[in-house]
Amino acid sequence: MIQIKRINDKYLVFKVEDIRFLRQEHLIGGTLIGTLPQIPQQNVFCGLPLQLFKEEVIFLMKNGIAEVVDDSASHVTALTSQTPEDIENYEKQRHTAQQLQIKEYTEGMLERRRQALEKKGMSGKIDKEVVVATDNAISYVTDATTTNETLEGYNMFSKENVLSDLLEHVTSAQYYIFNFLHSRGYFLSPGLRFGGNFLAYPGDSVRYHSHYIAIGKEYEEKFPIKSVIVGGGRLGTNVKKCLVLGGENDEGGDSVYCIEWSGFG
Amino acid sequence: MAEQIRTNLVHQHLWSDVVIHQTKLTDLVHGTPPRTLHPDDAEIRSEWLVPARSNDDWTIKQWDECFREAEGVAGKDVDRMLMAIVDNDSTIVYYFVYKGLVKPRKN
Repeated sequence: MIQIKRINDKYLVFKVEDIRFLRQEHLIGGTLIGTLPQIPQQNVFCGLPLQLFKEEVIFLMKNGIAEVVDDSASHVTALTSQTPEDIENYEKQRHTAQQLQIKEYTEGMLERRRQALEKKGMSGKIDKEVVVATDNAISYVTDATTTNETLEGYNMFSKENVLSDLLEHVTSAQYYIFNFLHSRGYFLSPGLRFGGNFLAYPGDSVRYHSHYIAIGKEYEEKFPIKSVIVGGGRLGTNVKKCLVLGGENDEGGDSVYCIEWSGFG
Repeated sequence: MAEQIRTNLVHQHLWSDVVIHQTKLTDLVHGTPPRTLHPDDAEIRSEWLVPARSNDDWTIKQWDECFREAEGVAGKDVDRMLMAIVDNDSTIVYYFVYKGLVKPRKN
């Protein structure tokens, strides 16, 4: 199951493989929000992590594809629960790894030197050489050896808690229209750019232009004709999209309508 | 309002056979445009129109009701209607309302 990290009320995914999986298998794209260290000013092409919008998190939780993890709390717990023994252990591990690196490095160096001397026909010389290396002579580089999952106090939020929390911010109408389009194979992205809840693409948003500006409404929820139908309809038609308005009707069925300027009047 | 829309359709947009149908809920206008309205239309088709005021609110439910009324009068399925939106200054704008998802026009 994919782990979504909740940090500062944002829902984030840090693993590239998870992002690929969500995108290809579940049409869930999110938004990359990390700046690139080399070019922090530009914000068009961002890097990790991926932020999921709330409807996406609800969908993934409801369908058992992902679980939500209290990432910041677990880091605090991990840091404050460190004992002197933990630190001593870490130092030991570090020292062992360091020695191993030094050994590998010097042996590799000797081997290369031996080969070079052999080429020149001076193989006798190598046996007279001594390698001097001190503990700190070689820079110590390491991959992260611990993962978040091994940290103590790494808590999953319960599905019920996360869902009830999310549904305080997402109206059922918004989730309705998200689910309506997503379940029909549409790829959704945030819709603010065109004044809607979502933009719907017929496939991956990298490959297609969006077809719809989608807005979810409760069945009897009032909305102004001038700004929503006239404004949204005209904007949509001008950018080659349909405005989709929809909600769940009294019988639990779908009442979904597409709005387009007629071309006259 | 339906009368105002009828006048606009007949005299400004040159529609023919424009008739007002009074239903339980609202007036509906039915008529035929002088040419196809949508690039995907194979031939000229007659249209159902829903009158509305630009300053009013609308609901999804109202669309359900309007389609139901139009289908009742027409005696067959109606897949699209036009909303005729009337402003105080007598401007009238027309918007297609399609039942369900339709692909945006290719132009």
